[in-house]
Amino acid sequence: MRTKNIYPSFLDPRTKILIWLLANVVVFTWSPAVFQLGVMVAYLILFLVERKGTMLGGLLATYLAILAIQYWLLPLLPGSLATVFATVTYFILVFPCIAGGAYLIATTSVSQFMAALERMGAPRSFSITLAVTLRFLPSLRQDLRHIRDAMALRNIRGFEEKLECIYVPMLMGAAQTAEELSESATARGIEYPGKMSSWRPIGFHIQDVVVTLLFLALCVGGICCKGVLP
Amino acid sequence: MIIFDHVTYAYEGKETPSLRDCTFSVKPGELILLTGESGCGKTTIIKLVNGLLQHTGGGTLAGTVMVGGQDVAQTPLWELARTVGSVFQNPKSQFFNLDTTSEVLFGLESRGASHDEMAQALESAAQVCGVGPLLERSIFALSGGEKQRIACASAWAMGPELFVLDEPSSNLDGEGIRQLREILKQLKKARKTVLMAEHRLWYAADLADRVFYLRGGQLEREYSGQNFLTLTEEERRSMGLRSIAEIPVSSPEPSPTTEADGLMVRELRATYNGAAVWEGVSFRAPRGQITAITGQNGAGKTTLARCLCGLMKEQSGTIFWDGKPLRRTERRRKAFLIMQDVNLQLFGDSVLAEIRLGNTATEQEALTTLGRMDLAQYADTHPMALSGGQKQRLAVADGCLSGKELLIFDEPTSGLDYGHMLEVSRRLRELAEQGLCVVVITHDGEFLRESGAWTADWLPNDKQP
Repeated sequence: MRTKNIYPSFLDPRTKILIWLLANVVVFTWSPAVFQLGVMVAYLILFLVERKGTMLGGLLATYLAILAIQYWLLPLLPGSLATVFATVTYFILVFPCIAGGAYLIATTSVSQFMAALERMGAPRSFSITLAVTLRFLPSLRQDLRHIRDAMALRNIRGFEEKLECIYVPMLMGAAQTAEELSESATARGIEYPGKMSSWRPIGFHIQDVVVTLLFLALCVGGICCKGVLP
Repeated sequence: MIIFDHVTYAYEGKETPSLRDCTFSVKPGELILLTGESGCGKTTIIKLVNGLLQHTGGGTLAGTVMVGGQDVAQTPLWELARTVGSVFQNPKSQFFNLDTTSEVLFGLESRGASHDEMAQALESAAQVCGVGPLLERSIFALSGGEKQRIACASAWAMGPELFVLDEPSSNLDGEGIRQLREILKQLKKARKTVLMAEHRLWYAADLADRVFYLRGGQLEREYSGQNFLTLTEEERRSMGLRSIAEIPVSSPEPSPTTEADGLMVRELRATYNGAAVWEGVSFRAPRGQITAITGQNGAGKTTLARCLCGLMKEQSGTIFWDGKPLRRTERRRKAFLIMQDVNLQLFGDSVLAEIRLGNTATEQEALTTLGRMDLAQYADTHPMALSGGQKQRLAVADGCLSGKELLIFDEPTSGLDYGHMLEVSRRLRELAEQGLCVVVITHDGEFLRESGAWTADWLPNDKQP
């Protein structure tokens, strides 16, 4: 009956959270470039292992576009405009974190995430809140598309005006979605006091150890080699 | 299975109760249809049965509600969830997971069921609700009908004896409703008890063992399934109920070939992510008439609406207005879209501010337009405080004041009861009589008949799915 598993669970969700934190350490301690690149390559391989090629493609295209801005466009621009575009290149610095976050969200189902959090000892109220947030983002994006259409037909111009117009309907929509979502979850027994189970197995395997060690090495190496390597 | 004993319920902060002195009982294996106008108390009954009101509502309850021998007020919701399976109205916001398989198993995972138990539940849900081919997919890749099937499967997987459904057909097209009907038949076959609230009666009336008619919070009459089916048209209308017989969407007619006024579309083709949504689309929508665009989900009706409004670019073909071709930016100024979820297009902090947004009309002109839409007395009200019908009228007023002459409605009657549906069709007719060009996307056969709309033959035959 089951043809394919859309969440093959190559890594345990807890491992994914841990390596994402380690990736953040590498980025925000301004480790030498070779370690930053190492994190990128590691995620690149993980994306390929999980067969998220399209998503990887999108991320890489954005990355290359920003690189292109940095190396070709910036030197050509007049001073004031260059400062504006220079902020875009900050994106490059935090890119490994973004890729890591995207990897975490794209390869983990909501219930795997909740089960993992529960095994880490997080209270149910915390894991529910986090899960709802994950669930929320895509439906907010759908709302936003409709609002953008509506604004285009109303001739609403200007950044501030637009922001104000997005605000109210988004908030109302979010409030309603939140209420209906929580009704649907409580009516199906999310408040059960006992232990939850997970259909998609979670648990540690050899690959979790390998990947964690790799990221740990990048992290420690990055901090130790700071100032030694460029 | 269900016992209501002199139940009265008032929502938090409301003086008048939404349900008054309601007494009935439901035997195991019965299918009960709750009907009546909007606000008659249908949803209140549903939420008293699955316990949401007693446990999270904050209102005041008198009398007792028993389900499967348990007092609902005294039973925790997670325990009730084993007896009562709920299917809600809005497929968009009842899913907790992002993938279908986890969604079906959500209840079982929450109560810590074993892997074997879940595998069995998946198997039987696939059989009863036909969700086998839908598993392991993203929730966002499903149509409305498919989503509602997943919602039913999710309730079924927990193995409850009682199912409550709150207007499950509101957002479905004809095909989706037929699939829902199949699931209802399966539930009956499995001797499950079903309590469903619904406006659209045609797909469920002949399956019902009994029909409860509510009015103003009271259980006014109870019919046996057979007696309900024999109600005459006049009785049905005076009760404010929608048609009991199915009214199919009228078959498309060729476009009128009169003079070149209003909208004309010639050989339009649109693509989405490189694939053609439709091509060879040609039709006319003259002023002074209501033109209906019908077709199954996935036929590209919304794409057509966005294209006509200039919100997306056509691949080839031409759109004419009064005989002149219109470019995309010109269409944005000429056309207006009244969305299915009208909340997403009201931006102002008062009705008057809302309608003056994005145009240069004077306050006097704005008030006149509001008056034409029967909204003058609400000028200072916040748009979100209006009723659904008033919000829809406000959106129309927005369009009219901006000088739009082509009004496109996306499913304006979804989830509406008979009275409100009539009001919408009357309103649309008035707009057409004022010389506007009204185009409506709909699956609602009864609404088409009441509004006197003609159905455009917009999709070339060989391109129909």
